[in-house]
Parts: sequence; structure tokens; C-alpha cells
Amino acid sequence: MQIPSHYRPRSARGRFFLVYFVVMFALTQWPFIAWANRIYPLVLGLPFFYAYLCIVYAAILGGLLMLLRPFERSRS
Amino acid sequence: MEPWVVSTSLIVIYLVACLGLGLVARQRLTVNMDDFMMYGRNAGFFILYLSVVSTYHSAFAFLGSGGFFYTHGIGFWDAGTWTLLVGLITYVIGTRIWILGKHFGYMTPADMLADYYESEVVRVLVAVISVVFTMLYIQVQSLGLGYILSAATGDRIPVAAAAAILMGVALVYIALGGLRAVYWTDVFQGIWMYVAIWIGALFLAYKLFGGPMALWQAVIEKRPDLLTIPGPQGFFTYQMWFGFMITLSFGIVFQPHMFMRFFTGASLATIKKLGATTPVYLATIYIPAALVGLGGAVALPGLAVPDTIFPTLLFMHAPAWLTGMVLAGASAAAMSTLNGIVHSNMTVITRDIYQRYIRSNASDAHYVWVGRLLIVILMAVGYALSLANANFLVVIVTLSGSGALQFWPAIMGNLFPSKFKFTRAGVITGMLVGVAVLYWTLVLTPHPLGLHGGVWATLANFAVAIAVSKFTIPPSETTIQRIHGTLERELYPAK
Repeated sequence: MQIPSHYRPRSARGRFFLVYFVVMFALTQWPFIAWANRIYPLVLGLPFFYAYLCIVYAAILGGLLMLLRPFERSRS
Repeated sequence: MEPWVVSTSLIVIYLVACLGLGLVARQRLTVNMDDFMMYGRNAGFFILYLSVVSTYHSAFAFLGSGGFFYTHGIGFWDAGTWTLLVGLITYVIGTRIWILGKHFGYMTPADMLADYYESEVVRVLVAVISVVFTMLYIQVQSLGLGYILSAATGDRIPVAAAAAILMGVALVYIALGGLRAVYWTDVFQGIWMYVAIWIGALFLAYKLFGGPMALWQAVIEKRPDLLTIPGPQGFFTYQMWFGFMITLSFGIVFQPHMFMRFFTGASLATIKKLGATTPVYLATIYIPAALVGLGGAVALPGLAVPDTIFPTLLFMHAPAWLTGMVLAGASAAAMSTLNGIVHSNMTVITRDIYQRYIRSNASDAHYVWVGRLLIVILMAVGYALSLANANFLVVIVTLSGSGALQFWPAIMGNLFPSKFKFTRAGVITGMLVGVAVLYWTLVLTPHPLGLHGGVWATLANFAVAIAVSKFTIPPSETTIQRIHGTLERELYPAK
């Protein structure tokens, strides 16, 4: 019996998260960080590059926490 | 009371607490391999969380990261990328490792890979790479511990003696309580190091600049060269940024002391929650590190050894109790990594070499005692290496971070069913080529075209593993169905 590939997501949710994380991690790499690699404009008093990365990191962390939602729902 | 007495006393209190936890763990120990080496495969979320994060962060993260920010600037905030990736790897790969460990009783990476690829060569190769490439971490942590205690006592205890004292404490509690002692002390160490680095950094930010935002303003005005990449010395190029993300995420998760933690989780839910939440700790510990390093570059420029910026500023500006607490936190960071590596290397040698090839039918109590003896030997070797000043050590330390990356193709073939099958010949050849390319791109011609040597080695490894696998025999259908079938059933249960 041929086991279906585990590289391809089998649900819409799986496809969403695959695209989400690929895009988000791409935003932490060249060429996007080449665009963000500057001090000004300051964001809440922080250098632009640092603030840009903080925002992307927060979005990735949010995505990771969202992964748990259906699991927590099924447990409750 | 003199400052050095206060800081040394705090470290002593911390060490006594570690020993106490080791003794309690010893009383709870059931003398069998699963308990001594795998925590009975019953580690809950809280314990496993703090063990993973404290093991991941060594003395380097605690002290070295401040030095990196000090020297190369904001480029080290790339740490956020690789620590978040560690979470995702845990969620996707860690869960699969846990499933196979639960079904087939694996204890080590070699155990798991050898079973799938039906190869003793794979077992020995993975075991040897696991031990050799992480052994030097023991040496590095040992040196770090020596410097920390020596600094805390105002150089009243030489580095070599200080390292011996701290390693001796770690040896006693690991040998007494096995992985239970390692995990319990990790919890204690993980909390201590996180609290210490935040309190220490915030104290310095307020004391020297009037607060974190004023610190950032001072850096913007006085050292703008630190706030963009590649940094003042041109280190953090875009290629290096990418290379750090790969080598410090996959490269560390695949090391045996991290990898084996996935086998010990109490449930699949534990590992999933671990993946989703560990980056909170792993990434945010670099926020105070940035304050220390960047603020230090403004407040105290021209420091000869940038890695000492945190303790130097504390000794100059902080009360003795705070300096002692932070130095004990640095000891905790080093010891939590050291104990994890010593314990995992002990498990690899006992399980993959001794039990497999030397004495296969002994009692569990026998293997536990062999494990204890190996802990003493590994500590002694690590300590001896830390005293040696041979050039070859520098070479191996350079290689060590990327060694476990060479398991990547083999792990993918094992954990991800697909039409394309990696074969034993493919992954063995890939690993050997990967290690050779690693030597070339890290030691002989460091980082060709600015791309981290670990990435070159991994690319070469994948290319060779895929090419050879196309023309060689895959694992038997029975094994593929047994292992991949288990993953299929667990991850995609029939509705």
C-alpha cells in the first residue's frame, strides 16, 4: 500500500499554515530585510529594523499559537 | 560584606539547591533504563518546557550574545528567527519523533534511524557523529563555568579549579538521579537564568541610561553603525544571517541532547504545546541581551573581551547580590546545557554501542551502572579537553555546531512518507560527504561566497543523498509500512 506523501498538506487549514509560515519566514530574509535594514523612521522610539523584526516575530509566534487552537477546542 | 563573598555565596546556594534536587530525584528513581535515561517517557509540559529551553541556551546565549550585540550590533537579533524556527521544527518534526519513540521504544537518534534504514552502519555513524560533535560542547561549557566562578570570586579560585568544582556538582546530580535529576535541575536553572538576565539587564538600563527607551535613543545617537546589518565589522551579511538561521535551528534540534527530549514527552499534546510556546522563552531572552550588548557599547566602549560586558558592567554598577544572582544564572545556563549533553552522550554510548555490541542481555540495573560510569568518564574527558590548549580543539569546536545538521536527509526520509525514498546507501554517503564539506567550508575555506559552511555541507549532503538514493535499494516494504504506516495512522486517523 502506497502511503500518501506527508510533504503535502491534506486540509485547507494545513495549506494555509504552510503558506503562512513560508511567507513569514521569507519576510525575515533577503530581499525583505534589505528593504527594512535602516534606522529611520523610528517605530515607538525603536530603530526601524529592530521594530520590523519584532513585528514579524510576533506574527510568527501568533501563527504557532494558532496551531494549537483546534487541539485545545477538541480537548475542551 | 565584600562583594565577592556575596556573589560567591549566591553561587554556592545555587549549587547546593542543584545537589538537593539531585538527591530527591535519586529517591524517586526506579532502577531501569527507561527511568534513568528517558524520565520514564512521562515528562509533562512544564518540566519538558523548561528543560528544552534551558538546554538550548548555553553560557554562550547568556554571556556571549551580549558580546555579539556589543561587537556586531543588531545582527544578532536574527536569534528571533532561529528560535521561532525551533518551535516550528518541534511542532512538525518533534511530534513525529515522539510517535515513533512511543511505538518502537527508541532512545536515541541512532536507534530510530538504524531501525528505519535497517543498517548497523547508520547506527554507528550517527552515534559517532552525535558524540564526537557534541563532546566539544562539554569542553566549552566547562571552560565557561570555570570563568564564571573564577570571576565571581574575584579570581581567588583559578579557572581550572572553578571548572572542576562546578562540573563535580553536575556529575554528582546526574549520576544520582539520571534524566530526572537533569530535568528537575533544568527547571530550576531555566527559571533562574531567565529572571537573572532580565533583572540584570533592566537594572543596568535604568542605572546607566534612565530606562530601556533612553538606552535605545543613546545607541541611535552614538552608535548608529550597530543598528543595521552587516554591522561595524561587516560580519552579518545576508548570507550569514540565513546561515545562522539554519545551523542554529535544525543544527541544534538534531543534536542528541535536544532530539532525545522529544522521546521523553508524556503525550503528543505535550510536544505540540512545546513547539507552539518554547519560542516565547527562547526568543525573548535575547531582548535583555540586546540591551546589555548595545547599551554596553555606548557605556563602556573598547572592552578587550566583549563577552565579559555583562559581568563587567554589573561589577562596576550593580549591588553584589545582583551580580551574584546573574553570575549564578550564567552558571545555570552553562550547567543546564552541560548536563543535557553529558546525559545524552552517556545514553548514546550505553544504548547504541555497549548494549548493542558489547553486552546485550544484561539487567537494566547493569546498564544504569554502566551509564553512571560513563558519566564520570565523559565529565573527565570534557574537563581534560578544557585544560588542553591544542589547535585541533579549535578546529573541532568550529565544526561542532553543524555536525548534527548532517542527519537532516536521513531524518526526513525516516519521518516523512513520500514517493521518493531515501536509502541507507544514500544517507550514509550523504553524511560522509556532508562532514567532509563541513571541514572544507568551515576550516579550510571558511564560508565560501559568504554563506555559512554548515549550509554548504547540508546542501552537498542532500544532493548526494538524493542522487545515490535514486540508484540504490530503499528499506524493505515491511519496514516502510511498519514505520510510515504508524505515522500515517497517528497523524491522519481514519474518520
